[in-house]
Amino acid sequence: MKNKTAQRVHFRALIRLLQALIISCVMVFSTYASELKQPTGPVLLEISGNLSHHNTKLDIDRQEDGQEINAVALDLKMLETLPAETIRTKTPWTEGVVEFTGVRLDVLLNFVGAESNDLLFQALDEYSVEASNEPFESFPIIVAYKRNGKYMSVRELGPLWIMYPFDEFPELNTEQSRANCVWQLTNITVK
Amino acid sequence: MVMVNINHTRLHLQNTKEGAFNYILQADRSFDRLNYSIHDYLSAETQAQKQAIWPQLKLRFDLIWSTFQVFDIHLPSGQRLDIADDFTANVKLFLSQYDPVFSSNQAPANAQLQPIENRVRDLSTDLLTVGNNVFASFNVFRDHIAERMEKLYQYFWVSALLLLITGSALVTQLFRLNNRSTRLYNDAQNSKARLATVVEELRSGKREQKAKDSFLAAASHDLRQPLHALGLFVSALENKVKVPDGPIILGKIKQSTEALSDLLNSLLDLSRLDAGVVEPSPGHFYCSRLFLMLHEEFKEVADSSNIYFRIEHSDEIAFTDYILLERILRNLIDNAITHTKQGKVVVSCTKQKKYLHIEVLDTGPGIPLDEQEAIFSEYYQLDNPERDRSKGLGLGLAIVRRLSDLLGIELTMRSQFGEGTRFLLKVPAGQASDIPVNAIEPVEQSNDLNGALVLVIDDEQAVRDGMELLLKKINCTIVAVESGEAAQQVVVEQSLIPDLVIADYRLREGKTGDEAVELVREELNLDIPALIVTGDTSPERVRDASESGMRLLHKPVQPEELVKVVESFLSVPEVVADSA
Repeated sequence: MKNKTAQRVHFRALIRLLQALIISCVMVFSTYASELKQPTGPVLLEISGNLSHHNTKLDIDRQEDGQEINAVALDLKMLETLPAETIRTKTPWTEGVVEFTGVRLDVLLNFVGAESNDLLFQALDEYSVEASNEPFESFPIIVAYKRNGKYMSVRELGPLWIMYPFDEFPELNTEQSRANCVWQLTNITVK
Repeated sequence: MVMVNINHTRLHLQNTKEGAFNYILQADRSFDRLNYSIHDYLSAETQAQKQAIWPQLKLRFDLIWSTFQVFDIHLPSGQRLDIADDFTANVKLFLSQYDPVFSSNQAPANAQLQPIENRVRDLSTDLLTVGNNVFASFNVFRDHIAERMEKLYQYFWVSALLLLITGSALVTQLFRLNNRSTRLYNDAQNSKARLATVVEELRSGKREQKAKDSFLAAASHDLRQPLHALGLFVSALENKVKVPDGPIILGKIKQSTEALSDLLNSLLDLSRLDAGVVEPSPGHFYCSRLFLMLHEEFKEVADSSNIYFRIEHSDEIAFTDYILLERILRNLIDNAITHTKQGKVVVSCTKQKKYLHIEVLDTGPGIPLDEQEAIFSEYYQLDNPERDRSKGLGLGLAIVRRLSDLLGIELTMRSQFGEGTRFLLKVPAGQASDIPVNAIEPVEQSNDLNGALVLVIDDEQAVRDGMELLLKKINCTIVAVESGEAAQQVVVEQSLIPDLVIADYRLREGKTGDEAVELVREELNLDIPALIVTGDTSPERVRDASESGMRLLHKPVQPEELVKVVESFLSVPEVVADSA
């Protein structure tokens, strides 16, 4: 058991290192080209607000005053380019242990150059929740795009679903964490 | 414990089980939006418009679908709500029924959507009912819990109040009990003390003695008065009787007078001791000094009775009142010699640790065991049922007992009937260093007072005359009056300044001697020395007289004693004048 845990720790450390490498590469890349690549497929997620990078413009809160802000629009392909993280957990909304695969939120925020940790999540069904100073850097909290190895349809609460590793870290089992698990995620606003 | 449970319950109430209301609101909105979209679709005029709206309509259907993937409502208690379950089943039926319509990418005809619109509207209404029911259920549950908590609070307060009341009642009761027991205890103590006093008085005969005291006081005053005068007259007669046998008869008269005086003085001593006016003044002294004096005093009497009397020489030092110890020993020796028919009377003194054991031993008849306690009471005389006066009054041992009690000297007696008696006194030992270097020796006074003026106030003519005769012998000028007022008058009329005032304590018309003295002092505005002579022996009267602060003499005063006192009074100012 101990051996296995040690191995896991090593493995995880390696992954972290790789992530750091990739992120730093991306950062280096983005410093001389703050314009990110344009999405080629259907846009799944738009990130707007206090960002250092962008690849599109967006109406503020879809108001019709014509004022636009910089934003990052992401398609599935772009999300899958970022390092993938898998968590297995039970949730209040599903049966049994479910495997979610997606991008770590801190990786994603780094990727778009988010300047703060004060976020607003919005969903397709117009559900929204504010998440301030959530421990995205300490725990593998992901924006999942796969459930049990399969992409999620709208009917299956997809295509994107924020997920916390509840089983692995019982301390995350709070009302706020559960509220943050936004399904059918469409927008993230960095304040 | 209770608080934790209450908090838990509150948490439970707040936690609407993954937000049942959120679900309902979300679902309601989804239904509304679907409804709007259907409405838009139905009211769209062209096929192109319909085709444009169709994907959104599909999405909204999908959203409802997804909502009911997770739509699950039950009460916090875990109870399921039938109406909610029925509704969920209904919606799922609706979704699967119309899934084919919404799966198509082709915009359907209005006719296909019309029944859907109705169904959606119905479901929306149902959802509202479900919402109301859930809300009601939650409220019922919440009320139930709240009610229980209310009851719990009430119960808590009532018990707290009860506890407080019971506690304070108990405490009050405790205090009252405590007070009462203290009072009872004090009462008991008082009663006990009173009882002890009465028992003690009964045992020691103080009760009878109190009555006797007043009788004695009254009687002795009347006895003393003439005796006092008698003494004075006899003394005055001394040098005037020239007939043969005259001096002898006079001597006998004098002896008898003295014996009478002694008896009365013994009575007075007892009275004084009982009144508590005798205050011992302890000092350090050699026993040999005391023994020598006693030996001188008793050797002739012992010789005349053919008794061997000896006081063993002792170098020990005692610490007590010299005069009172002398009186104790005098009484004991006197008793021993009186009762011993043949044999010896021996006084000895040995030092044992911090005490001197002074022993008075005789070979007299001894005291039977059953009478050993009784001999210390007044008027008790062994072997004298006929009350032969020559054997004394029987006051000796009573005085000894009182004096030894007063001095704190332990007095024990051992006696065997027919073999003699031994009295043992445990006197505190003294220290040589504490003996005054120049033990004051009585200064020899000349009998010549150079015509000092003495004012005598006495209501009895006989006493006034006696005094005059006596004091004239020592060259005093006498002015004798019968009352304080008369004294005042004499002083004013003859402009006299007496050197000494001698007043009888009990004057006529309830006046007292000290009042008379005060009158004279006021008249002259001088603090003239005064001497009060009293025949009253009742303890209270003695105490009153003492409190006046003037020198007190008790009748019958022996002429020699009176002369000595007068001399000491009149010589004091001269000494002061000399030293000044």
